[in-house]
Amino acid sequence: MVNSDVIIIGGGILGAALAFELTKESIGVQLIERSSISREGSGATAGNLHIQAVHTRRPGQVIALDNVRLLPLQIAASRLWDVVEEELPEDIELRRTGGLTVAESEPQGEEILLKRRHEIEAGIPGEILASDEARRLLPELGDSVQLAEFCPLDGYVNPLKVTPAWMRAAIRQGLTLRTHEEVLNISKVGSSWIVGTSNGQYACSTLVIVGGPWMDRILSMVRVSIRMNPVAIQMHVTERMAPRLPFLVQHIAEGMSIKQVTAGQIMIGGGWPAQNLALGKTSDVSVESVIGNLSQAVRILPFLRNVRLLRSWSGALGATADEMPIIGEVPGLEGLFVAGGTYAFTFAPLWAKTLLALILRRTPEVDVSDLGVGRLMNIYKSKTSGG
Amino acid sequence: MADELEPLGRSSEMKANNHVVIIGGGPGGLAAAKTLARKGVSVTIIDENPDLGGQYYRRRTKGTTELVGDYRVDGTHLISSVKKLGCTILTDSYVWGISNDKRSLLVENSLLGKSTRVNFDFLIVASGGHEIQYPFTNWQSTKVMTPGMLSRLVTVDAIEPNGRRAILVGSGPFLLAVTSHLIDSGVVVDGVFELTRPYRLTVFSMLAVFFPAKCAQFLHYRFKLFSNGVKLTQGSRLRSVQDSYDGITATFDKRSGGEQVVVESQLLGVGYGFKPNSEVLEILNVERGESTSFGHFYPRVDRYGRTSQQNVFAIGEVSGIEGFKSAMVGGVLSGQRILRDIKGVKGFASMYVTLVHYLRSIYEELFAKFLKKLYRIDLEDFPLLDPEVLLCRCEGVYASELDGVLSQCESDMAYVKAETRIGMGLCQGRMCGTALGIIVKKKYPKSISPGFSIRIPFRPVAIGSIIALESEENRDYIDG
Amino acid sequence: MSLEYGASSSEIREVTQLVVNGKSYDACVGESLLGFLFQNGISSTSVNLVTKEVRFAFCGMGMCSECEMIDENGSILRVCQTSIRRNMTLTSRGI
Ligand SMILES: Cc1cc2nc3c(=O)[nH]c(=O)nc-3n(C[C@H](O)[C@H](O)[C@H](O)COP(=O)(O)OP(=O)(O)OC[C@H]3O[C@@H](n4cnc5c(N)ncnc54)[C@H](O)[C@@H]3O)c2cc1C
Ligand SMILES: Cc1cc2nc3c(=O)[nH]c(=O)nc-3n(C[C@H](O)[C@H](O)[C@H](O)COP(=O)(O)OP(=O)(O)OC[C@H]3O[C@@H](n4cnc5c(N)ncnc54)[C@H](O)[C@@H]3O)c2cc1C
Ligand code: FES
Repeated sequence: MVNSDVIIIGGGILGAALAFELTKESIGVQLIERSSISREGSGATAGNLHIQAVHTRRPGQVIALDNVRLLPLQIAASRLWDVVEEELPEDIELRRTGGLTVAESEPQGEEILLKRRHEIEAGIPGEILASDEARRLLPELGDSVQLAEFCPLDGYVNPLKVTPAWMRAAIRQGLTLRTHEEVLNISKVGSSWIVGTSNGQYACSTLVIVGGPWMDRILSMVRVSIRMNPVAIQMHVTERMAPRLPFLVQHIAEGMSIKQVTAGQIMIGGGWPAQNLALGKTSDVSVESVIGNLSQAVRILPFLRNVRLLRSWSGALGATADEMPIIGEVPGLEGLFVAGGTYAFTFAPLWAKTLLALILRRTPEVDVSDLGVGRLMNIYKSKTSGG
Repeated sequence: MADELEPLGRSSEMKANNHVVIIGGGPGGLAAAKTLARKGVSVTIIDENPDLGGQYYRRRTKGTTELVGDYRVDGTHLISSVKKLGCTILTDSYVWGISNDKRSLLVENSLLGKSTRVNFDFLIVASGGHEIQYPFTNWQSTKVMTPGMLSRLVTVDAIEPNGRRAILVGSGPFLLAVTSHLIDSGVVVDGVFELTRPYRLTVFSMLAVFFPAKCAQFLHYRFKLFSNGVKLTQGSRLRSVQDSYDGITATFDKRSGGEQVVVESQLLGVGYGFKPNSEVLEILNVERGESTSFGHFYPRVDRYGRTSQQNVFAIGEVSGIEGFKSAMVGGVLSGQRILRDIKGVKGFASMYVTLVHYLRSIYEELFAKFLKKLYRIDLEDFPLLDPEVLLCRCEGVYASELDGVLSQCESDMAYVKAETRIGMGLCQGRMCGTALGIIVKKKYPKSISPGFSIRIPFRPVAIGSIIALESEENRDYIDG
Repeated sequence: MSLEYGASSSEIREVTQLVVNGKSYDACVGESLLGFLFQNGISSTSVNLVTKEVRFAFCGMGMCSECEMIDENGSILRVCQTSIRRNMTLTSRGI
């Protein structure tokens, strides 16, 4: 059995970011990943850094998220991303392009004005633009845009780069990375957590589950059941083209995000649902979602009509039942932590720092007490109730 | 080939509209269309090219035909009879996806720049294949191309030879056929380089005994090479091509001995056999057949071309059977099978036709198996890539960029793709995917590499064309 | 199978101007574009956006995308699947 201070289950962006923070403090860490790193949500993601308030529902999302609650977390995450870029030796293609959120009707405009007021309270910079001002900033905007908000802090990071870069940096600091090893069972012996995988057994005093949409499955190994609402959503990418779209463009009322990335391709997303959710396999891209997402994109940015779509794909998102993030120690199970839920990409550096603080029993910089595990737990049985 | 699959749903369960859609207007698709349309079944054929014909019966353009006459006249007859039978023909039309309910194809008309849905009750996938590549230094030279392309330039496009010279490199009987076309058209062939060692006396004797007609064809090709002084070299690997003032210099490693062979010419055609255009079948979750050495997707089919999905057939090159004749045999059999599903068994004539083609298909399959053994390429036949070799032509990724990634990938091609961008470009890995699979397999001999995953659109399609599907008027309902 | 050059070729052949990357050629309407470019020694169909190399049609069957050019309407076409139309103006993709 191999011992370490901490074991992390899940090699997505949260696992990599946390491994980096822990190893920086010279804490011994093993990270266990079922397949390759960054292959699930963290590889499929749009990679947007959402700093201005987000729209509250993906297409088909039943429960709206509380976008005002997220604002202090977003500004904190925004500050940390600057540090990430400095700390990592590799180029992660972080671009603060600034982001536009557009409204196409009067009620939608009202919504933007309202969210702007909340952002001011949270200290998030931004500017309201009338339709002609918005078009001056971005002449490509379609006729239907009536009002927009610009936030200079919005941007994106290349997801194909950041998780591997974080992971490599953590390895240099002493991380033991175990890929292609699936965690099959977890037990507690004394104060140690014993993690059984397809390849062996490992022991630690602190266990962190950052398993994305598999979080509930992994938690069930310690007889904890939480309410999650995982979905597969899809992304669309065009061929490369000369620079044409300098900002991230979003919609206040509909799931939509459009940006041109460093390779020159345009990425179009917005959380449109795939046909199904096939965890561990690939969920089938939905043609209806392709058409819906692209039609909306052409309405807002008409030049896209003549750009060729190269590919679409889907990825699983570990959303919770209330669509809000989840982070904290599992009540009653000392030394067992989880993190995940919505916008885990934007929040990655913040969740890493927060988990580090919680593990070291320090007070985190942001208050996450209301985002803990307890609110989502169904039945809770103590470890004594069974093997 | 599997035994006959389980009987499919009874005709009574089927809709009154028994509309058959055929993807691919090559010999396979045309034969199927003719079989069906002659019995009054409503058929739509979809092909991306400006005219029907596929690879073997590729049509000369009207202008070229006026200039130099027709080519492969039997193809012209076949196509015109299919047109006369009233099939709906959608040319310049590419199938790039399938609707969520898997009941209609998403088809872009490249002239209109618009996509439509084409509904089907029966689907025959006769989408053919494309040539397999394995990179070498400077394969991106403008003087390097596939043998198929060289062949169509001299036959279909009827370019004048003007003393042009070429060498042919790769594997398979196809190289000899192309060489023969080049010689006939007046191109000087400076050599044929077959990667494996199939041309042995024992082989020809076996051919003569079991497949006399095929043997005659082989000997005919061999003799043509010989009488035109074309040297056929076996077991040599292409390492690099250098551009020179008016041509190229190609360098080969002899596998035995290790010395190098240098050949000068003007053009180089290279290809290592065919890979199926299997996108539609893969997205339909059709079951895989036997695994092949390159891990390409071939569907499991019965002798009628029926796949594991109800009412979905795969015939010709895409089902793994090479040659235009066997594609046509498959076309007739799938057509007969559908006629039986729709109309029940009728008449002696139809049973006779089925029987004859059934036997022919057994013969062709035996021959195909023989060829597969004969031209079997082992992983060691391909060299490791020099660092300066461009691996992904589209995204400009060199072999050197695989360093490190390969040892970490644990045989996961998607990981290599994400780390290097190999396969992310316009061709979506069609040119480099097989090679990357071979490289990964060399490193992890036990792995089963499924290749790059298929996603819509199968090929780049303008967003405006895709969203044309939104408006209901564009639905292409075709009555039976 | 040998080609019959000149057979029945003296029929009406409509000649048109074909402009490729700024240079003008006489071509026949309906002729194969790929054949025409090759015959006339035009060995650049696209320029690779990453490596900036000049590329020419490679596969001849619509698979590789190396033969993509932009026509007078700004649409992308595949040379290997196109016949010459009246007054075509083509530019290499990626220039
Ligand atoms: C298409 C898409 C677009 C998105 N866009 C954005 C965006 O623009 N901005 C944003 O902020 N967020 C976005 N998100 C959300 C965000 O990207 C993801 O929530 C985030 O990447 C999840 O990271 P993670 O590390 O928590 O989980 P994942 O990336 O899902 O990683 C979990 C890992 O755990 C592993 N695992 C699971 N079970 C086991 C086991 N038993 N043993 C070992 N390993 C196991 C999995 O294999 C996986 O690699 C998007 C998500 C998707 C799918
Ligand atoms: C240059 C050349 C010379 C050959 N010479 C010989 C020979 O001498 N003897 C011999 O026996 N065989 C020869 N072959 C092989 C022969 O061409 C094939 O075996 C035969 O054409 C296979 O027929 P098919 O109907 O299966 O497919 P194909 O003829 O390949 O036809 C498939 C058609 O489907 C189209 N298509 C594919 N996907 C889509 C899609 N998604 N949407 C729309 N259309 C699509 C393709 O463009 C193509 O037109 C040759 C091949 C080539 C390339
Ligand atoms: S030559 Fe390959 S697509 Fe035209």
